[in-house]
Amino acid sequence: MKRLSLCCVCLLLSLTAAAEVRYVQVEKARLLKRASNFSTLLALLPYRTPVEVLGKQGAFFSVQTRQGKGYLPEASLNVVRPRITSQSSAGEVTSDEATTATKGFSAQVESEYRQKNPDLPYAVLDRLETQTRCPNPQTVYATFRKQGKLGEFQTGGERP
Amino acid sequence: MKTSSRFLLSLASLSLLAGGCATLGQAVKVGGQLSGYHELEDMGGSMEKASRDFTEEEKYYIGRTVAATLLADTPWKSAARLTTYVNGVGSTLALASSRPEMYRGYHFAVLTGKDGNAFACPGGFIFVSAGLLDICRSEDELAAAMAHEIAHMVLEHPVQAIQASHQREAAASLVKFGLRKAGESQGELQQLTGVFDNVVKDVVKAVAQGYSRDKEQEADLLALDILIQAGYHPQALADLLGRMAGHSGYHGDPKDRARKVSEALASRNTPALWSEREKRFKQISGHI
Repeated sequence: MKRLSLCCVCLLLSLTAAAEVRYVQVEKARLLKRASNFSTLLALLPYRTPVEVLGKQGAFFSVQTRQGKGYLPEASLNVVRPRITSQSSAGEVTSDEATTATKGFSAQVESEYRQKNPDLPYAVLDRLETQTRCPNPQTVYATFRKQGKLGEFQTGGERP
Repeated sequence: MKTSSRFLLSLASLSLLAGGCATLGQAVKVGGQLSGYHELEDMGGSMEKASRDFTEEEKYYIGRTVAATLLADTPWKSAARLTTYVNGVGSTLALASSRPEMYRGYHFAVLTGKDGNAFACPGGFIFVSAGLLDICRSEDELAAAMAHEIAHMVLEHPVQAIQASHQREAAASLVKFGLRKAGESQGELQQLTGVFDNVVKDVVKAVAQGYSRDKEQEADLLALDILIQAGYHPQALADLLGRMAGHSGYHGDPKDRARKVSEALASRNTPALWSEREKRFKQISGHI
C-alpha cells in the first residue's frame, strides 16, 4: 500500500509537471529571440515538438527547447500533442506512431474527395502552395518591409 | 474498464485540477501518454475530440478543398512578380497579427475575378481578386483588404460558419473514426469523406457570400489593429470601403462599415504614409 501511495505521488507530480509542456501544432514553428514576430529567428521547430513553458509575455510563450531558450507565438502551441493522422509527413513521428496513424480530416480524406471530384483544380492549388510557401517570412520578406518602412522598420514617414 | 485504468483516470483527473489542463479529455490523454497506458491515452483523445475544435491540420485540409473549389470558378493569376508582391504584403500583416503561423503557413494569391472581392479559407489560404486590386489606389488599401481577411482567419469565422448539425456530425465521426487505424476500412473512409464534404460546402458558402454584419464589423476592427501593428495606414480601410459602395462583390454595406471604421480610428495614433510603398504598388498594378 505504501508503495502504491508513493507511485501515486510520483505520477501526480509528473502529471502536474506535464501541464507546463506544450506541443508545436504547426508544421514549422519559429523559435524567436524576443517576444516579437519580427525578432531574430533562432530555429524552426517541427510539428509535435514538445517544449517546456517557462513563462508568458503577451501573445508569446517563453520556452526551453532542445535548441535552447526562446519565444514562440501562443497560437503555434497546443496543450495536447497533435495525433498522427494518415499520410502525415510532418514533425517528430516515431515508427510506432506512424503505424498507428488514425483517421481524421487528412491527406487520405482529401485523396478520396479528389477522386470523387475530379474537376477540382488541386494540381493548380498544389502549384500555388509550392510557389507561396514560406516557413520563414520574417527573413524572406525583410527587404520588402524595410523598403516599405513596415514591421520592425517603421519609423515614421512622409506623405506622398 | 480495468481497476488500474480507473486508478490512472482518477489520477489524470486530479492532474486536471493540479496542472491546469483545459479539459478532462486532455488530462486523461496526458496521463495515458505519461504512464504508457495507450488505452487511456486513446480514451482521453476520444473525450477530447468529442469536445474540441478541429485541429490545425484538419483546418488546413478543409481549407485546401475550399480553396480548390474557389479556384475552379476563378482561376489563379500566377505571375511570379504579382504573387511575390501580395505575399510580401500578406506576410507582413500576418506577422503583425495574433496568428502569425498556420499549419503550413499562409498562402496569398490573386484570382482573375473582376468583382472587388477577397476570400479567407481556413488553413491560411487568402485570395484577392484582380478586380479588387483595380479598385485599390495604394498598397495600404490593398493591405487593408487583406488585413480584413486575416482578421476573419484569426477570429475563426470560416470554421464557425459550419452548420451546427454538420459540426456535431463531424465531431461524432472524428470520435468514431479517430481511434481507428488509417488503412482499416474503405467504408469508414468514405463515410468520413461524406462528412468532410458537408463541412467544406458550409465553409465555401460562407467564404463566398460573406458573414453577418457583426462578424464583418468585428473583422474590420481587428484589421485596424493588424494594420497599425504592421505599419500600414489604417485610414486606408475606411477609404477603400468608402469607394466600394458602387462595386459588386464586397460584403456588407461598405458605407456603414467605412463610417464605423472612421469612428474607431478617431482616437488612435496611426503610422505615417510612406511614398516608397506607393511607387511599388503602382509598378505592380501596372502589370494587372
